[in-house]
Amino acid sequence: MNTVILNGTGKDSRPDVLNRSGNLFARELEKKGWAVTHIKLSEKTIAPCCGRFKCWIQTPGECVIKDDQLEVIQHIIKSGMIIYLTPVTFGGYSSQLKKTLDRILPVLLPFFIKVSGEIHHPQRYPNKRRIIALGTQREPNDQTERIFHNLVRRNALNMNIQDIMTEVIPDSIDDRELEKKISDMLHPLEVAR
Amino acid sequence: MKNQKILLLVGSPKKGKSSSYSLGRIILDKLEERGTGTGTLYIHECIQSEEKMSDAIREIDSADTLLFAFPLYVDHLPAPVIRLLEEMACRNKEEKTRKEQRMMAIINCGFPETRQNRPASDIMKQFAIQMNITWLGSLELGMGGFIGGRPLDKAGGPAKPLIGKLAAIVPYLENGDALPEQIIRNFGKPLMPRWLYTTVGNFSWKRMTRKNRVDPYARPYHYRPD
Repeated sequence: MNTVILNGTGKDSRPDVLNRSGNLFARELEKKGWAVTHIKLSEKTIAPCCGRFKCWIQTPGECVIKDDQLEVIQHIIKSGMIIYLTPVTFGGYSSQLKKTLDRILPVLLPFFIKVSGEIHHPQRYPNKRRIIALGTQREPNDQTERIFHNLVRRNALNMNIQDIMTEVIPDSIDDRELEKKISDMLHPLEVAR
Repeated sequence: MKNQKILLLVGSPKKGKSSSYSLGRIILDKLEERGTGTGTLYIHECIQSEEKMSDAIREIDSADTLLFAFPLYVDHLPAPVIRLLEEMACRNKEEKTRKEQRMMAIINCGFPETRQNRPASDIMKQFAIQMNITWLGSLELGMGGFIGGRPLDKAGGPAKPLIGKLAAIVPYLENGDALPEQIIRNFGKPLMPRWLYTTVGNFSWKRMTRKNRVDPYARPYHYRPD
């Protein structure tokens, strides 16, 4: 199965933690037989969403802006798992990660459906997916951590995904701890397969 | 309060033709009638270059109150808004003294439930806390698709009550008072029944794709079924 890692290392974060995390996720998943694509979003040219819903009404399923997002969206569509890596930014994602998430509208249909008592959009493609979100922060902060977990949960609801896992780790985590954390996060996959 | 400046920061790519601007414009009109200084920045323009970002931050620093208005994108702020906040926070670390400022947000989403804006509101509040800016609260609105970028007085009956509700928050902005819970709740009330909004919405998407002679369910990319 395919996995895409969306690495949202931001301007104001220690990039090595997220890059190391991405490399460890890739290594562990490849050992389990997954095909992994690790995308460092800071190296990609992705323009802001123009908010005109052309990917729904003019060229359904395709964004009209032709840039590196085309590659990202094709990986998302064929992946059974999406891994978000981001510095926790005021409780949310970095602008680097968000610039790609703002442009995932083509994987959804425009119509409204009810999910868990709320209105959301159905998936365009029938694949079941899971989300793993790993956030990093300099100092422990219960408030921002809570917001981050809630945000990922709401994103999953929006994409009709039930299977999610979120973690927030300190920027200063050492290699051994990080390796253990990532191994623990991937452990449920072995049970699931 | 003639000596203060309230700056509207519009976080929609549609800039002056957005619902976010329409909502903020009502407030600016009222403030200007009362002689309060105002200004408007379009965030998507501010992030286009280092120079534009520096100009924008100078203008932000000169304001007494920041009034953000943006649409909800994937449960969160649009990426350009986050980019601006990151830059403000980054420059803030370098400054020893900072002018006392206040901040409020107006967030609108295309889903009928106002509560879907909550994570974005929480994030704005956290930004204010980390920047040591006084947080006045956020006005959150569902069914934003109904406004569709039109000025509120031309957006039709259900949007009309918003004009009065927005005017009512002007004294809070001017005096730097936190928004009372009742005003926030009242602002977020549905513009119409949920079944009506979703039925009209689904009909509109179908009508637009039919007009463009495209299949709304198209799957242009290869995918691997489970």
